[in-house]
Amino acid sequence: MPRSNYDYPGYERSGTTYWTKTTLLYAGVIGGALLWSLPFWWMLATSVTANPSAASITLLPSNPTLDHYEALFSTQPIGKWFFNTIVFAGSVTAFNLIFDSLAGYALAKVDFIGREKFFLLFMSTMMIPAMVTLIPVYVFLAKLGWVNTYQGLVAPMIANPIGIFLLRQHFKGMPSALGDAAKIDGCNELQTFYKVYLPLAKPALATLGIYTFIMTWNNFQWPLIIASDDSMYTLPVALFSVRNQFFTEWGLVMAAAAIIVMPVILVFLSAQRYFIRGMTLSGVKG
Amino acid sequence: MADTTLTDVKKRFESDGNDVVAVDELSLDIEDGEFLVLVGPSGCGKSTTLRLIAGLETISDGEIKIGDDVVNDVKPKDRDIAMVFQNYALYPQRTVRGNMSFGLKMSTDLPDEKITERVEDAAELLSITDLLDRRPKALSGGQQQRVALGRAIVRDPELFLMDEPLSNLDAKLRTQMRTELQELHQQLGAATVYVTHDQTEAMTMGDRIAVLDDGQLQQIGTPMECYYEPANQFVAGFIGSPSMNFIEGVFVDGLIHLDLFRYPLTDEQRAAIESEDSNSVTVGIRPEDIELTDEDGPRTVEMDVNVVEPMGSMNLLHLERSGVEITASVTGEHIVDESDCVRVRFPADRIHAFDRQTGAAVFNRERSADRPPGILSREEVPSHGR
Amino acid sequence: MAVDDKTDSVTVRTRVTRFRQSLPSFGHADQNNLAGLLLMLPNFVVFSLFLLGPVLFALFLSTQDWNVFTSSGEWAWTTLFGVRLPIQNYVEVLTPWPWENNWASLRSPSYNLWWFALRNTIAYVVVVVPTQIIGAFLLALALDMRIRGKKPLRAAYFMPVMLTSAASGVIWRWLLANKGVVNEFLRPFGLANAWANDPGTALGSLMLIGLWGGIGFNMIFYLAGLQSIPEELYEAARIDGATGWQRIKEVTWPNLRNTHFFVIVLSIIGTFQVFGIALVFAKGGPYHATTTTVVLIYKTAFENSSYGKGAAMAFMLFAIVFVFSYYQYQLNQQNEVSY
Repeated sequence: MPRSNYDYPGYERSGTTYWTKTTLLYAGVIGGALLWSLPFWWMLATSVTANPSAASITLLPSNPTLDHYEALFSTQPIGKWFFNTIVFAGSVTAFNLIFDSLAGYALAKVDFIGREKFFLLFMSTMMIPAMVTLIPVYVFLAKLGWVNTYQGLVAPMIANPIGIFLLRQHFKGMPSALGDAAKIDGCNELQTFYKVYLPLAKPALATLGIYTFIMTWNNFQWPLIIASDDSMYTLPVALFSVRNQFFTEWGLVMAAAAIIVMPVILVFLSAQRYFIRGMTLSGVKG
Repeated sequence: MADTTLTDVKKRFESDGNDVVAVDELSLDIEDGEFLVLVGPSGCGKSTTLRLIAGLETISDGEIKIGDDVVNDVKPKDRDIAMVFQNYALYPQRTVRGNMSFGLKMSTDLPDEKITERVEDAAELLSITDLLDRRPKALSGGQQQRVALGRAIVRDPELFLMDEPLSNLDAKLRTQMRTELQELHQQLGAATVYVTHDQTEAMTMGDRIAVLDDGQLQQIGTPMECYYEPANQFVAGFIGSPSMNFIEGVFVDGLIHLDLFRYPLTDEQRAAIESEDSNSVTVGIRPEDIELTDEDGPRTVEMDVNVVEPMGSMNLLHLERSGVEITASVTGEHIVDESDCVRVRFPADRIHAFDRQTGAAVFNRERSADRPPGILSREEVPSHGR
Repeated sequence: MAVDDKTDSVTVRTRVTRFRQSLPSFGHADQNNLAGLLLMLPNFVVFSLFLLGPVLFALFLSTQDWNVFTSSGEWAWTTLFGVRLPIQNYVEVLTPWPWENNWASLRSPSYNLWWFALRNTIAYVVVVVPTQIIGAFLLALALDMRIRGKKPLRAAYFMPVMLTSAASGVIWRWLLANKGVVNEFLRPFGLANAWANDPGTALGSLMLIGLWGGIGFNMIFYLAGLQSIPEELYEAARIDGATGWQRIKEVTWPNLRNTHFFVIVLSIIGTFQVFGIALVFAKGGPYHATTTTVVLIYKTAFENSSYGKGAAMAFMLFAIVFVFSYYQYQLNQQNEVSY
């Protein structure tokens, strides 16, 4: 049934059974998709309705207003939060791309002592629940005085086994004859890396970059722990705080949610391919 | 310029805690300007040998000299070699020009104009001038092959190393490239070590062939030597297609007792066997040397035809009698049926014998020094003089 | 023995490394070691500081009464069966044992929060993991077929995966609010409820949010798995006369064995750590109905500053997750043999 060629003798393309089946399939899949996307629409609709309550919100708001957004921008440091989030996601992504391409290449293409052990060690850290390491890391950073700082926010997120795994697989898939040819052409190990293999890894780097950026942008747990006041909040933590402050003003809260969600959705829709490839290759949601 | 020599070269790998010897005490002398083919089944150590010469692997023991220098610990780029890889190993992100000039940029101080000049000369030699600005992805297999050759040629090395460079081409292109490679070799004059698993390629291209098996050198010699005077049973079976037939036998009283029949020997052959310690021998005869005959005789035997493989110019007969199976290649224009019975002769001057324990050749077939009819000196043909 | 030649050269070259150690020094190998270790260095530093070191430090912390202001701790001693051990934190978290109060701690949060939170978490895992995997499999089957509009449909199901847990929690809190949209639909049927404020339905609502995000996530892996099944297998099955259903049963399902394993392990690791949606949706309430293990750890360590106790809890969670994943691994291995 799945993914097969349907153009074969004896396959019925008409008749009641065929049409019933087809209708049910489409109805189920499309109905489900609408149900799945409805919360997004409701978020947007609520955020542009003056006094939102379930009864007052219609699928298409009749008098859309940007009041909630204005109120949000005038009372909350949205710009600062945006900036924090971009610094956070941007620097984590940059560090990851650099560090992980180095390690990924070494683990795939350089013969060195204990290579397989290093790899296993790094990969086994994927099993560790985040909380196990976040408590001691917090205690450690508190001693350094890094709580509520950018460096405290960024540093622990650089250690990322997923990125190493993804790039190692990618480099491993490239022919080792290229490296041999480069050695004969006169490259040393480092030159072989950045003159021959790294330019070939651009698609993988794009995948990893987009994936890491979105996952870091969305990270809620660590910023919640390390940021102690709203000057260091990232958008997800800020949303949590806004909801706690304006408990009954759902219009405002939904406007805040929309501000976080929309950029991610836009990035995703334009770079869906990269993101999904990153996810299937690495197999882990942040 | 001088020879490249390998002396007692050994390469060990560790596999599941055991040492595996990939290349064992290999000694080779690659003469200046020659085309040496390393041939053998997969896993015989031929590619490892090439990688050892290139400096892509470190040798465990022994010595490699290129020219007068021992290069055991010399980096690949300083060995004055160039290599052509099986899958070409072209840098996908560089143009053809970039691929060809990369080695010169990295390993020499040549000025840019000089590099451009050399790249363009090589491109002209290979007639790929109009491809210079393309990327490898936009090239056909045959074109990529030429670029890979070009990259080696611009280095102007003392020694070319080629690792099954034709194995990814289709049959027709491979035959064409075989000839082109030889012409190129003659023009450039640098020694070439060429690795292949294909004995036809080895026979047609090599000035000399080195046959390897299980990490050890079995025989080194001209193609004709390997074909007519194989040093052992392995070489005899490996060189030549279809493969030589082997029949086990015991030498008693001047006859070899085979399961098929008792085969009489000539005086010289008898003398060769008698000088051996053991009388267990394996008799070898190539399918093309077996003859069909009407006359009964001491060297003939009747056999059942099991399968006929028509090849056009010849028929390949798979024959059987008392559990012994052999193949014979006979002229293709006659019809042989699979239910037929045939009488075949093993001509006395065409058989080989090998020691059954060691596999070493006891005697080989005779090889006529006569030249075939129809060969004339050029003066005898007036129209040729022009 | 096939030691030489391209196909083997990758595996062989890894073996070479170990072998070279036992030989007198070779310039070649030393250079590789230097280059390799140098390339690994940046990651080695951050891994040691932020993942590997902290695991050891967490083990130490779990035996301490830690004061974050003075950055110092005291050993948390306790005497167990006459032996003095620094496991006071573990004992405090685990006691009273659930059987000592007739399993009441699994029914009410007022006896021991750890056991109650664990009950919540396991209930969440047990409902969400199978549901989202089966849902994802069926959805992937449907969206792998020849239907129009595959791409937007897939994107629709996948979109919730892109959301930060804070946003999911907030949006659903609004949808499921007393005066929320869901109730507006259900009121005519007399089914309106304060979903998030009712301890009886809050955990169920949390499961719904988990499924909303989880199905699309797992669907992607199943779609990738389906793509990797060779078309010939289906054609062979058709020639053998298999019906559509039989083809799913005999070809699709068994050939997705690796995907199943992968998806199950990922789901277990992920759902056991459910945190963001639980905290944002109802802050662990009402009456701790949505206090999952990680929410409890977070509150213990970062709201009550009991870092030692939090670390002890985190370690026990680690052990539980490990046991579940390892069990799956064993199961997968057994299946492998029987095929």
